[in-house]
Amino acid sequence: MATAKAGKLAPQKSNAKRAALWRAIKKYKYFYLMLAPVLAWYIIFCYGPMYGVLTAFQDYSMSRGVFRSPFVGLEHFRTLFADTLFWRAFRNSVIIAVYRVIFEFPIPIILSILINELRSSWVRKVTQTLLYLPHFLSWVIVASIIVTFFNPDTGLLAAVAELFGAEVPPNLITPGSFRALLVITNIWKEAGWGMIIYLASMSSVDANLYEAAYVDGANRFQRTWHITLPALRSVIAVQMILLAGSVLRSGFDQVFNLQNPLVMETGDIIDTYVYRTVTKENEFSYASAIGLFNSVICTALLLLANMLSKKLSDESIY
Amino acid sequence: MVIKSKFNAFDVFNIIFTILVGLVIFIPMWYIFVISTSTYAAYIRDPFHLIPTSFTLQEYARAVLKTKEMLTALWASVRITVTGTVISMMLTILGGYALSKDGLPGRKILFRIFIFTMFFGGGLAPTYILITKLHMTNTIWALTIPGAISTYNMILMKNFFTSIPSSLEEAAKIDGYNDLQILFRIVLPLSKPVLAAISLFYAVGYWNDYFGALLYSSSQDLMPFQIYLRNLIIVNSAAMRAGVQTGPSAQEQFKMAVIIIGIIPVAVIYPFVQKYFTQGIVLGAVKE
Repeated sequence: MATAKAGKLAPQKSNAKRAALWRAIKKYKYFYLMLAPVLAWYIIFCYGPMYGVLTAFQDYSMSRGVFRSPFVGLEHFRTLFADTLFWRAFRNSVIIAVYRVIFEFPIPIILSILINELRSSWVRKVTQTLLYLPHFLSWVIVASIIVTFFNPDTGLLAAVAELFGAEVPPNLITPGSFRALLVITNIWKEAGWGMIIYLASMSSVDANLYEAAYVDGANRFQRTWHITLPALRSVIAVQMILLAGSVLRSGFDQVFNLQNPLVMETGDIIDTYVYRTVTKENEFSYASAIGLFNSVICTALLLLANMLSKKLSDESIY
Repeated sequence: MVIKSKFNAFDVFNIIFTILVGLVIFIPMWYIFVISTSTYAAYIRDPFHLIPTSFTLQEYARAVLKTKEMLTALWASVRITVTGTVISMMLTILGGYALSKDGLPGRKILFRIFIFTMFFGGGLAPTYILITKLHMTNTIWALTIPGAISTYNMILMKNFFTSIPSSLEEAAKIDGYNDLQILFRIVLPLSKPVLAAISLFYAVGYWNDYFGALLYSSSQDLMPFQIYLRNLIIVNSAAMRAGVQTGPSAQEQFKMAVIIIGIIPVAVIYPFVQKYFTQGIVLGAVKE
């Protein structure tokens, strides 16, 4: 900036600057006091594990710790690339992620437009309350409901199938149906809550726009298409970027609670594989390596989506 | 001017469709509820369990009065939820308030340090190692502190604090309040809506958590309700499907009663806080 010009005055100026900064820091001393525990928490519980990523390049043993375990370079990554179970989990994660983007993402948008157009305020109120509720239930509870529902002997689905004379297979949660089950049950649980951000943005659209369009002879569909949807564009873009960054790991709780040994072929994802590696085999270093690999891909996806969105719609999260 | 248009076929379709969507959400929960209140005879008679033909609370009574395991689990969940929510709210309020001060030197860097953790984390294995090394396993702290701050909630909080007119705080300063007193005596009483919404988000998170306990706790008195339910229904059913019979399974109505007991606390508190959700989310959409 203007450093070259101000060269002669620099020492005095920087002194004055430092004094001003010092005054500001003093003025804000209580705020630093407030931030201290927060920063400490972030350093220990967020950045601590990031430092622990080093274990991915070590032969970590609990007794030696991060500081004294021997380094083995990229050995765990070589194991990873040759591990068919890992690639199975990776492929499943990618396929499930694609399903989520295609089938789950648009539902809250469509639902929120329909609910916004509702002409009966009590129907709107009741359904909104009902639709938000499952978001607050744990996946343990929802999976319990699903397991009961799909029980081949006593569940409702089996009862209905029997009513129509259809034969009920001994298993309803199978490798073939597992991914569809994930998509459907996640829509059941989260689509309602997903609407809330779109509904909020719709309520902030200037009502004059709709009136002007109405005067110009636009019908309801046209008003939705030309006013409501464009108003949602930036929110949709941001939601899409966030989804891209989390889609490979999202749904751990769901998959973990719905999984059973029979559906691993289509239903084992990276995070559940990491969990088993840590708990069953105590392979910390290998689990770290898989986790790191996954994190890097997720971050890359996020950056990619952010860049694309910046190019296409001028919308980005930073 | 108000847009006048007739109540047309689309409106009728829309209302019917929305009601159907509502039913799809409602029926699975209703189904569980009906089973949980059926007598054994009624349960055997009707395979659909959609229209109640009997009503009894005996399974609830059995669960609450006679099942010590479940009571211990509920009590553990209550302790974890209360402790965790208090810790989370303290940290989130302090962090959110400090970050809401534009003039704070270093604010931008701190903000970036916090935000970065939303997109990149160490992963399960390093976190597990850390918690073990800190000797937190089998204490309530392992189930509360590692997940104490949600950066997203802290940003919501910060955005709300930013929206409070600074003239109020300046006036308090003239009265001789320091910044901590201003926060607790002036700012927080004005922030009830956002405090209610965020406390609910945290409390529900702790109430629903099972994974922390699965990893870090092996002692019976720290087994939360979600683990009890998971073992009762999910683990049992997965084992049965794989052909492994794990002892006599509990009666269906009893299991369903336990599910409903898990839904009740959430369903009871949530309507009171619902009106604050939208406000919270709108604040969250304001970008830094």
